[in-house]
Amino acid sequence: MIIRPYGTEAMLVDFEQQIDSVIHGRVMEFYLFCKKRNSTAIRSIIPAYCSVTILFDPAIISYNQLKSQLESVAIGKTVASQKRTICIPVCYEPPFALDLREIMKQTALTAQAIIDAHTASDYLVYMMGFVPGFAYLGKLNASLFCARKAVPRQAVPIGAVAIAAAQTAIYPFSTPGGWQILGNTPIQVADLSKPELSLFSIGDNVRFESISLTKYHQIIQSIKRNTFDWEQLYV
Amino acid sequence: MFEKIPIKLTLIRPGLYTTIQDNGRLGCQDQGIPQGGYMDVESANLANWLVANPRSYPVLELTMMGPTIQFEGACQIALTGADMGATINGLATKMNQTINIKNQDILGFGQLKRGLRTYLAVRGTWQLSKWLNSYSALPPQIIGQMATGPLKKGQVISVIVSNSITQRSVAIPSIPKSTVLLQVSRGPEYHRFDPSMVQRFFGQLYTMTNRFDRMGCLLKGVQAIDSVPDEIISSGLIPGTIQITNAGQPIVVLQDAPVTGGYNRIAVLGRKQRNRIAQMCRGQQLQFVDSKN
Repeated sequence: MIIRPYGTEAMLVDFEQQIDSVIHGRVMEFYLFCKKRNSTAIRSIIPAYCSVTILFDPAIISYNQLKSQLESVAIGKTVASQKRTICIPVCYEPPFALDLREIMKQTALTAQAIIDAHTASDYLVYMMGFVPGFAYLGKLNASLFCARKAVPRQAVPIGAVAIAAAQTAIYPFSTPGGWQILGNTPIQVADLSKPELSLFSIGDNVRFESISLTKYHQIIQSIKRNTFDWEQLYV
Repeated sequence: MFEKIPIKLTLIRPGLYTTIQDNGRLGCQDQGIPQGGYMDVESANLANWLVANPRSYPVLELTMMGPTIQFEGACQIALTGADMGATINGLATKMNQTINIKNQDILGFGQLKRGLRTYLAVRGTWQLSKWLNSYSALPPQIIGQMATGPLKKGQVISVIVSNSITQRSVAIPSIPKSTVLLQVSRGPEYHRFDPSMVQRFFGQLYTMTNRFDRMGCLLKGVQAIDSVPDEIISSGLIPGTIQITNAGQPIVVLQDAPVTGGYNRIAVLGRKQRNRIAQMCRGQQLQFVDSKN
């Protein structure tokens, strides 16, 4: 763990610079420790893949004071896991698999092999960012690694499930984006009008389940009718 | 006791990008929410002081081309920041002082003369709802979700006016049009850059490109800065961070930027310097000065 100044009102806490679930576990421990401290000196915390950025109030605490307080935090003990696993239904069929051809070309896999690889493992929420509710999920099976699109889309459809290098994600809103789109979820993953803005928090596990176009529309309907059981997403 | 009837501000024309801003929302960046908030805190605080509103109170932030606002009811306002040739009922009005507004007055703006962003404070309690403890508008890509994006034509803001105050005014130097020197702290990846590249970064002039908004400013220098390696694993971004893109040009990260990014962070602007850059337009030149810490 290396602590460095980041301007005059923030510090950067770097862990070993790798995208790795064990290293991310240390990020989570450190982040949760800082968050639980609930100190007025700490204005905001940004946990990421292998770093934590802390914004502090220099009128309350100096950089050196905060640094020495945080350096004494014992990292490396296993914290009681409160991880949730969230299962997201995805339709990988047309009209949603917008970049399937490009992904097939880049990976030399069949459409079914791509779906199988994407749904085979659980992904860790390494970081929340880009836009509210956007969870950076990893790591993708190496057979699925794709370069980003040469020209980003101006507006990615809401709910698009996409991949880029070792990462996968769901676009919570229609935003510009350069990731390769392989499907779409009928589940609204972020709702800024609700107290819990996003379905995901950093440290959660996410699993994708392949659904048919018929099932996709059934879920859309039941969400509209307010009969959708949101609890079933948590496995 | 009589219930106080709010006065109304109606946006007859919305202006180029007019938003409600306060000090922004801190503490929710772990959920990927940008900080938001006044781009030029100093001017916003001054506007609120001129109408004796509390600090961190909401104001309108006007960008480049101001709106046209009709007032329904008398109130006191103040304008600070960029000089956009403000008028009341077509007659020029002064900045940096308390202005008395009469019922049916129309506040308009002309040509942008200096700076980029003007702050409009209105004395009293604004009838708005907070989201995540702030009134600040969200970046455009997520406004579909919330009502607090840039203001639209016909939109109305209600304010319960407080008792009038004696006029306040302040003389402040006008916003410079010439080259601006901005002192910076060293960024987390400062030492990853070759000393010759650091020298280049501080040695050359940068020009504001046509990309300058609440998310950030893309700058252009004659010589590109090479960073080795190109990118880092995505890590926290705070307003004021200066990143070097893969094309070797600096991006200054500002209030509405995403909370993480992957470019090398060479330097960081402090709050005062952010206020300066928030008032700079396309074509204007600036140079960074190493504060050596």
